[in-house]
Formats: sequence, C-alpha cells, structure tokens
Amino acid sequence: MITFENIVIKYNDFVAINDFNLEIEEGEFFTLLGPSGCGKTTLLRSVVGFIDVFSGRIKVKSDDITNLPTEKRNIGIVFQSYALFPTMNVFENIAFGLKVKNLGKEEIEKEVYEIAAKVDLNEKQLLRNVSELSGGQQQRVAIARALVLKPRILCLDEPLSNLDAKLRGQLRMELKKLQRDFGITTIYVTHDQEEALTLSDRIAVFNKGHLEQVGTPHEIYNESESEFVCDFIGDINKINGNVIDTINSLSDKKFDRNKTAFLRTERVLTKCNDSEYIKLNSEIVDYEYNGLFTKYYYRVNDGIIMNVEKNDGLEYSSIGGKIDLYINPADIKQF
Amino acid sequence: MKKTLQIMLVLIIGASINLYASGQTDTAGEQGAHKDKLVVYTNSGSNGRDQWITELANENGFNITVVEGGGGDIFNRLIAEKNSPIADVVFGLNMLNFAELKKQGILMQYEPAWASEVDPSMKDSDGYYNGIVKQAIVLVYNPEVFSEDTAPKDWPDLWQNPEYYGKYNIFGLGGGTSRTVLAGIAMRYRDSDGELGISSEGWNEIKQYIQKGYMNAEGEDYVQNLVDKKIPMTMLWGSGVIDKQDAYNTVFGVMTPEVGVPFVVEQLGVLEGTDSQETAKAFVEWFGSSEVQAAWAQEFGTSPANSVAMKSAKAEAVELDKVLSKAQYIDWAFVLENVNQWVEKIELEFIE
Amino acid sequence: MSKIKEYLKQINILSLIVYALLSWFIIAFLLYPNINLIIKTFIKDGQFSFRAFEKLFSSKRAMMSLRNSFILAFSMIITVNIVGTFIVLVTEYFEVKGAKILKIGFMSTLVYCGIVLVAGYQFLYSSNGFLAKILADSVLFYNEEWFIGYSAVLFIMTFACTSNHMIFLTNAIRNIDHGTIEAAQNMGASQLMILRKVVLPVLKPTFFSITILTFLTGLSAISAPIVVGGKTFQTINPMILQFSKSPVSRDIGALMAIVLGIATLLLLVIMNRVEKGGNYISISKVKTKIVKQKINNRTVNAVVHIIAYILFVIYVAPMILVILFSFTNTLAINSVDLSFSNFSLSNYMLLFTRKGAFEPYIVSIVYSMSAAVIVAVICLVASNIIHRKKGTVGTILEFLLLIPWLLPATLIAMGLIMTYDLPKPIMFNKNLVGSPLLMLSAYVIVTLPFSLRMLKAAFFGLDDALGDAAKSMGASGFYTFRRVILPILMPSVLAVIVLTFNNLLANYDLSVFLYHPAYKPLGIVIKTATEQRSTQDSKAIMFVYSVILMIISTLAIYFFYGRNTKRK
Repeated sequence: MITFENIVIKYNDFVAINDFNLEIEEGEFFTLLGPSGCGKTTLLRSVVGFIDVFSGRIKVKSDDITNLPTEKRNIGIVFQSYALFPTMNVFENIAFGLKVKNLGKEEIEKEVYEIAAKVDLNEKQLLRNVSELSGGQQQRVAIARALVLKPRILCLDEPLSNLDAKLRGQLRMELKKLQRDFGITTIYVTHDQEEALTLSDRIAVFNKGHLEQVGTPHEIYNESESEFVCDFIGDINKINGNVIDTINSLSDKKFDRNKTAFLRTERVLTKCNDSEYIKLNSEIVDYEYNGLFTKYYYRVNDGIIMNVEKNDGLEYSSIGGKIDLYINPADIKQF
Repeated sequence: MKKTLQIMLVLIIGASINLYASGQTDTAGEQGAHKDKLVVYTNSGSNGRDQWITELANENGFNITVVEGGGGDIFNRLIAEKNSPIADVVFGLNMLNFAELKKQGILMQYEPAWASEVDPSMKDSDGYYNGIVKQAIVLVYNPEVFSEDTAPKDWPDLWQNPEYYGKYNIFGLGGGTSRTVLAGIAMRYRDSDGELGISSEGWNEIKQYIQKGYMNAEGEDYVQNLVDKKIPMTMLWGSGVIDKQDAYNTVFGVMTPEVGVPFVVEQLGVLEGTDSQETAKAFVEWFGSSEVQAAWAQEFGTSPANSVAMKSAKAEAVELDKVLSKAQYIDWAFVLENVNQWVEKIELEFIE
Repeated sequence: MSKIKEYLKQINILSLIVYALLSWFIIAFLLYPNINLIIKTFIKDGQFSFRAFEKLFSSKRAMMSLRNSFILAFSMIITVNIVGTFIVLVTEYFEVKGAKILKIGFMSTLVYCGIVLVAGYQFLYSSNGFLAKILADSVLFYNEEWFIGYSAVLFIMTFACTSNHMIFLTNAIRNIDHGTIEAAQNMGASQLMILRKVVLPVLKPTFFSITILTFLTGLSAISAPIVVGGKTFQTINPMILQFSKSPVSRDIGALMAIVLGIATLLLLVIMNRVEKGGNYISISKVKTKIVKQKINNRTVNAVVHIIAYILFVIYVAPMILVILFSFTNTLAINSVDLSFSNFSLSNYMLLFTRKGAFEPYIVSIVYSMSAAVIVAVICLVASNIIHRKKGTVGTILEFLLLIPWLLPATLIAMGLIMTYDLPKPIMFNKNLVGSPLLMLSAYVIVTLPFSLRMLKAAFFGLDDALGDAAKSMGASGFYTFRRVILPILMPSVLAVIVLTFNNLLANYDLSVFLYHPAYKPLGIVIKTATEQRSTQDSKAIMFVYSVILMIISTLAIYFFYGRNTKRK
C-alpha cells in the first residue's frame, strides 16, 4: 500500500532520516515508535507532504506521491494539538474539506452527519464551538474531520499525549475500534510503547533516524532484535558481570560477562519445575504493589533482578525474605 | 462582519478609482480660455484668504483650486515638482524664494500690465515675478514694559544691551520672517572674504543674537507672551502687527531702526510648463491688478506693493507704512546665495 | 530534469502573481525612490560628499539632541512598559472596582494623540496651566517648572504611548490559559510569583513587539520635545525634519536619520534573535477562560486601586479640558477661565458653515482607510511568507518592508516626488506626481513597518498545525489563508487597520508635499487654521479639531474593532 524507497530527509545539514525503506500493508494499523527526536514525526510529515524528502520515493499503491503537494495527496492527518479551527464550530470543522471540494450543501450535510454518527458526536455537539468540547470530543472531531474526506491513509501524530491516563486508555480503545470499523490504512506516531503494543498491527521502532526493527507487537516484544528495542519496549532486567558468571556456571550457555544481558521481568519465575530453568538464590529488597501485579526487586549476587507476580489475594512477601528465582537461559538475550 | 468589510472594500476601491480618474482629468485640463482649472499654490491661504480669493476669482470667471501650506513647505514642494509642475500660479512666497524658483527654471517670464505700478525694487527685473504685498519685518514690544525711550533702537541693541537679554522672541529659522531678520543683520557684516560672505565679527554678533534671544516653542503663543510681559518683544511681519493688535485687543510699540526696516515682498508668478498658461496669465493680470489688491488689502490689512492699490488700503496699514517709510537695503542675490548655509550653520553651531 | 518539472508544477499561478506584485511594490516604492534620494543627497558633482559627517559630528547641538533622543527612547522602554503593563493588569487581570470605566480612560490615547495630546497636557501642567495653578496653591514645594525639559517630555510620552499595550497586551492576556494560573496557585505560588513566573513570560513575544515600537516612538518623538522640551531637552527628529526640508542641508538630515535608522536596525536584529529563542504557544488542549484575580493582600489591593484611579485622572483630565475649552475662545483658554458665559457653539459653527467644510474629512477618511486596508493586505501576505519561509528569504523580505522606519517621512515624500515626477517604466510609464495616488502610496509606505511588526507577532502566535491540517484536507494555500488563518487573525488585523487609520487621519508632514490640489486632507486644513499666522481663536479652533478627530477615531474603533471583540 505505502512504500518508502531509500528515503533521506535533511534539515539543512542535519540528516533526520537516512536511507529508509519500508512497506505498509493495506488496512494495516502501523505505528512509528521511538523516543522524541528519533525522526518518526518527520517521516509522518513527509507522508502527508509537509516536508520534502531529499531523495528517495514514497509510493501509495502504484502512485508516486513524492512530489505531490499536500492538498492533492488525500491523506488525512490528526495532530497532537488536534488543530481544530477555533473560529469554526464542530460542524464547520468537519465540513471544511468538503467545502474545499465544492460539494453541494445537502451533500455536505449528509456526509457530516454520517461521519458524526460514526464517531459518536450528536447534533447538538455539532453546533458547539470547538473550544467548548472536552479532550475526547475534540479528538473525535479531529478524526471525523480527516475521515469525512475518505482519505487513502490516516496519519495520527501522537493524538493521545497531553491527556490524562484514564482518558488516554479510553480513547485508545475508541481509536482502535474506529480504525477497524473504517478499515483504513493508518500510520500512528507515538513515543508510548504501551500505546504502540496495544493498538498496532505492526510497529516500526526508530532510533536516531534509522529503523531498528519492524514487526508485529509480539515480535517486537518477544523477539527484540537489538539492545535498543529491548530496552525501549516493556520492562526488562539488565544483567551484568557477577550475575552472568553465576548463570554461566549453572547452564550450558555461555554469556559474555562484559556485555549486558537482557531478560524480560515476567520471564523470571519464583516457582518452577521445568528442568531447563536454573535456580538463583536471592533476597527481596523492595516491591511495588500495583493492584493487578506486584513488582519485586531481588538481590542476586551484587545485582538486582526484577519480576512481576500476579496477585492471588495472599499477603505479599516481605522485604529481607530469601527466595529462589528460576530463569530459563534461553530467554536471555545478548547482542 | 464579513459583509461590512466587503462593503468597505468596494467603497474604498470605488473611491480610489474615482480619485484617480478625476485626478487625471484635473491635470489634463480642458480647452478654452478661463475654462481651464487653475491650481494656485500659496502660503497666504489661512484666515479664510483661500476661500475669499477662490470665490472672487469664480465671480470673475476663473475656476481655481488653492493649495496651501507653510511657506517653506510650499516652496519645497514647487522645487520637488520641478519636472512635472502641478501648480499654474504661485503667490505669497517672498523674493528670496521666487529668485530661487526663477534660478531653477520653474517660473515663466510674464509681465502683466500692472507691473508698471509696482516699484522696481519689489519685482524681478526680468519680469519673472512681480510683487503684490509688502511686508515690513519689524520688532514689536509691549509698551507697558518699554517706553519709546527704553525700547531698543536697532536690532544689535538686543544682544549688545544686557537689558534685553532673553526678552526678545526669535521665530524658527525655517520661516521667511526669521530669515529676513537674519538677512537684515547679516547685511551689516558682509565680507566677501568671510565665511559664507560674513565677517568673523559678524558671525560673533549673529551668535550673540541667537543665544541671547528666546526661541518660541511650536504652538507657544508668543503674542500672549508679549502681552503677559513674559517675553515682551518679538519679531513680526507688517500685516501681523495690525492683525494681532486687533485679536489681542492691544497696541504694540514698533521699533524703527535708523538703517531702515527689511521688507519682504510677496510675489506672484506663473509656472513654466503647465497646460493652462493663457488662463494663468489672465489670472495673474486680474489678481495683481490694483482693484483686486486694494480689495485684498481692505479685507486682510495688507500693504499692497501696487502703488495705486496702496492708496485704498486699510487706514492702519497706511499708517504703519508711513512709520516704516525707510526700507533697509538688502542685496537679495547675496542673501539667496547664502541663506540656506547660514541657517544650517546657526542650527548646528549656535542654537543651544 | 524531472525534478525541476515537478517543482514547476507545484508553483501555482496565484502565488506567482502574489510574489510578483510584492516584489514590484518593494522595488517601486521602498527601494528605488529612497535609494534615488540618498544618491542625489550624498553624491554631489559625481563625488560622495563627507561634508554631512563633519558638520554633524562637530555640532554640539546635534550630538546633544541625538543623545537626548536615545535617552528618551530608553527611558520610555522602562516607563511605558511599567505604566502600560499596570493599566492592562488592572483592567484585565486583577479584580479592580470600576475596571470598565478605567478601561475607557486608558483607551483614550487611541483617539487622542499627537500634537493635540501634547497641547492638552501642556495646557494642564505648564507653569501657567490649569492644574499648575491649583497645585501650586495647595501642594507645598510644588515646582511649577518641572513641566519643561526631560521630565515633561518623558511624562507626556509615557502616557501617550500606552495604546499598544491596551490593544495588544490585552489580547495576549485574554489568551492566557487560566489552567496554568490555577496550577501555579495549587502548587502554592504567591500572586506575585504567578504574575512573574507564569503570566508575564507567556506575554514575552507581545512585550518584544511593543518594546520595539515604544523605542521607535521615543527615537522619533517630535511634538512633545518641541512643545515642552525647552532648551534643555531637544531631540533629533525636529532637526531632521527641518534639515531634510532644506535642499542645502538635506544631506545632514538624511545622515541623522540614518544614524537613528542604524540604531533601529540593531534593535530589530537583536529583538528578532531573542524572539526566535522563545516563543510560547499555548500547549493546552482545552483552554479555560481567564478569570480576574482578586488581590489578597489588603494593603496592596488598596494601593493598586489608588494608583489605578490616579492614572485614570492623568489620562482623562487633559482630554476633558480640551473638550470643555473647545467651546470657549482663545482668550478664555489663555486665561484658563471656565466661566459659563464663555461657552458657545460659535467655534463649531465657524468650522462647519464654511463652504466645502466637509470635504477634507471625506478626503482624509477615504485616504486613511484605503491606505490602512492596503497596508493590512500587504502585511498579511508578507507576514504569511515570512512566517512560512523562516530562512533568508523571510528575513530579507522583513527587513525590506521595514525600510520606511529608517527614513523620516519628509525624505520618503521627497524621494517619491523626485523619482516619479517623470514617467518611469516601473510605474507603467505613469506620472505619479500630479496623481491622487501619490499621497496614497506615501501613506501606505510610512505605515507599513508598524503594521508588519504587529501582524508578524500575531502570526507567530498561530499553531502551525492549523494550516497543515487545512492543507491535508485538500485546501490550497490561498484557501487555507482565507478560511482558516485570516479569521483567526481578524482581531489583530482590525486593530492594525484602526490604528493605521487613526494615525493617518490628521497627517501633515507627508501630506503637505503630496496632496492633490483637488483633495485637500484634514491635516492641511488644521495646520493652516491653527498655525501662527492665523489670528482669531486659533487655539480654540485647534481644540475643536481635536474633538472632531476624537469623534471620528472613536467611531472608527467602534465600527471596526469594538463591535467585533464584543461579540466574541
């Protein structure tokens, strides 16, 4: 559906994106994930046409859109700030693009009401000034405004940042549902790995202008291909020196003691019969009670290993308690 | 809001087009004597004088538009518009200005019939311009402060006698009156070897004249200052003496120096290169005539340069004319050549 | 090759026309006439003349005046910002009783300005003025002479130049997100700290713009110094005006103007740098409307109220006196006699019974309004380009449009006449001298920098995403500008139009050189009616004109600005 071929984007001398290649499938919810300044927003803006690429091609299906002006690309975008027009009411905001197309009054009304119903905006809300809306309503207006034009692609630029946690969670689900209902190819930019994992069909992890890894959330999480991805996604144990020596002494695998070894927290068990697992002696040094889970910090040798335990209603273990940890050397990654 | 703006825009554009269009026809002019519209530049348009002349001209078959402004401004405008003059006729500026206009080729040679009634000292010998109103430039004082005996007898007294320090008002040097006073002083120290034609002693005197005097701020009522005895002396032009005495219901003492009083003569001339020269000439013929000048003098208290008209001027003007019978000799060519530099030097070096 | 083709395809004809028109305007009106004038001024007999430099730098008076101009400009940055910020805070930010009435008083400088304002103040405070007489009797050690020299000039200029605060700072305060204030309160910040750390920093861009304007106003002050500057505090601009009129001394005038111009330029460069460093765009998704703060400390509250009302009196008193005395005669004005018998309508009758008395009003209103609208259009287009092209193109364009700030109005007028007195190809072989368009173009030129500065600031306050959003929905650049950007900027645009209009309404300095004989503007009529030469009741007549100007300006503000903001 969307193909990036050898894309280079420069700001004066600074290379923001270097030789980037990627293909996004039709109907996919595709996320560009990375820390701020990694080039993900730059890439998104080049898709919409706000930024000229220095070299390379962007194609949508077979059309080369690299040099097409924004207004002719038919790609919808929802901004971080939503960028609703403050001088227009909700209806006018949504109708804006239709008016640009010079559609008749009746047709515009029909389209606006149709999309409004789909994003759950009622007629009363349509007549309100955008500044009177709540954050969630504003997001829905911004999405409706983009979708009413039946774009080939929908781009979302961190639409959930700046919102409180609960609203964010709620809107995340709304977003996912809307995308499924419309079946529209979506490019989503975020620095929030949780958002990326929950929403996406596939994720591209960015770092300093280049692509670290592309894959399904499962692949990205479980089969991280680089230190950066390991570290950036999810909660992970970083194991060093003496602890690696202990692990090496208990298993056939030989890890390099001079490099960090990575192990997902949920892969550290406190009860286990599996023979592939090795046993480490530890002492509880701290815990964080989280309702659903409790996260424990254990001292193993001179290092700290964390794990999460699902709460089963029993009292949690107390600090200073000795406990055996079971890990599978196959789960440990070193790069 | 949008509607209002749209209407405003249409109005403005309409008005601009209209302005432009009518402007074009105005300057193009129409054919036929006296049907031409004349543009008259003057610095003597205030006090309803512009309206008076416009109406009277109209009754006599002239269609004129008066452009008025300060003397310096009108003069500069004429110089700037040299290459495409807008004015057909100019009057009211003094000989100094007219001499410069002539030099720059802005004026046209034309000698009206009434020119013979004007003293040769008050007109151009080549007939480029002719005097209409003479203004004696005098020093007036508050007679309650100075008696005829204690009042200064001549301009140098002002800065040579400590009695008068800070008590005489000098107008801004951009104006004709102040420049004429300066010319009258400078003439006394003429020295072809001196800086800008004035001896070093002369420059010292001029410096004293400026620094011992008081320069009224813009908008400051110097006549009121005189009446209030705050600054009891000021320079003034002849018709102003009569005007201001009326307006402030007071009587001034007038200084009459031995060497005579500098006179400026307001001139009248036709511009070179306009489309309506014949009408302009006819207008000058009419406006400078003794009848019109007499009427003008009656109305505004001026002293006509036209000797015939002078006979029917206002009584006060005739009276003043007698008192100021002696004119100080001023070589206008010399003054014209240097006065701008004099003023520049004074502005930069003497004024504190 | 194909890249070039594609690029060419992107340039649409509309923007090509816009660029062409803008370039033509800049070359024909800003560069050519002014460069022509400078060349003719400084190059004599084919050689560059250094005469002006020697003359200028050896003149004690010129140096003193120059120094005074800078002293005034820098002093004003402080005083105008303090007074301006205070009056805006008491009318918009703090809860002060009677804020609405106060506001009307503080807004008075919008309609009451220039020489008229100076005359009003002088009438009130000068040694034989209205108030001076009362104060001298009641206040011990009252020094009647304070109203001459630096103190008087600074006093008048401070209260005369707060209009920009009242308009632009007010707008900026209204745009503050109340949430940020509440957040700070919640974190235990004191009111003073909130003001200093939360509110004022957000207003920084507005302060920059206003400070530049204030500095320039100070540098180019004319009326106040010549009327109340006395011997001790004359500034450079009256000298510039005088010298630039004289053909012999024009080079000195131009040089003085260039010195001021360089200072202005330096300030602009510095300000632009600083401005780039920190622009605060509200990041709140849901802004809450600002709620006026009650001052908690009782003493402070009382003091603020007292100062606010003292300022109110300072603002309003001269205006009221001018209105009152416009019904009397010069004698009554000079003797400050307000007895009832002196009142009559005769001044007004005199002005309006004259034949053609209304024409100058229509001429000036049409000229000023046309110029204001044209300037607004040019500045909108230009700011849009400057805003989008942040690189060299934008910077160059901006500085080109600010050229008129570097030259006094008289020289700009001279340049226009001397350049377009003969048909020139760049003017389509039309002669501008003799056309009514001459004065219109000059009006546009001189008011350009102010409008540009103000609109540019407004553009910087815009969220870039708005334009991007419109584009992504298929809107062309022009459509986006018309339907999205313009409506948001409209309050600023209208404010700029009104200020430009009021500023030009009674213009004399430019008009006297440029006005078309058939269309005499108001400034000329006022000047000839009130200048020294005329005798009867010239002061009273000036007051009458002031009142009429105030009425026109007030109507303009109401019509263009007031109604619109009220509806919001």
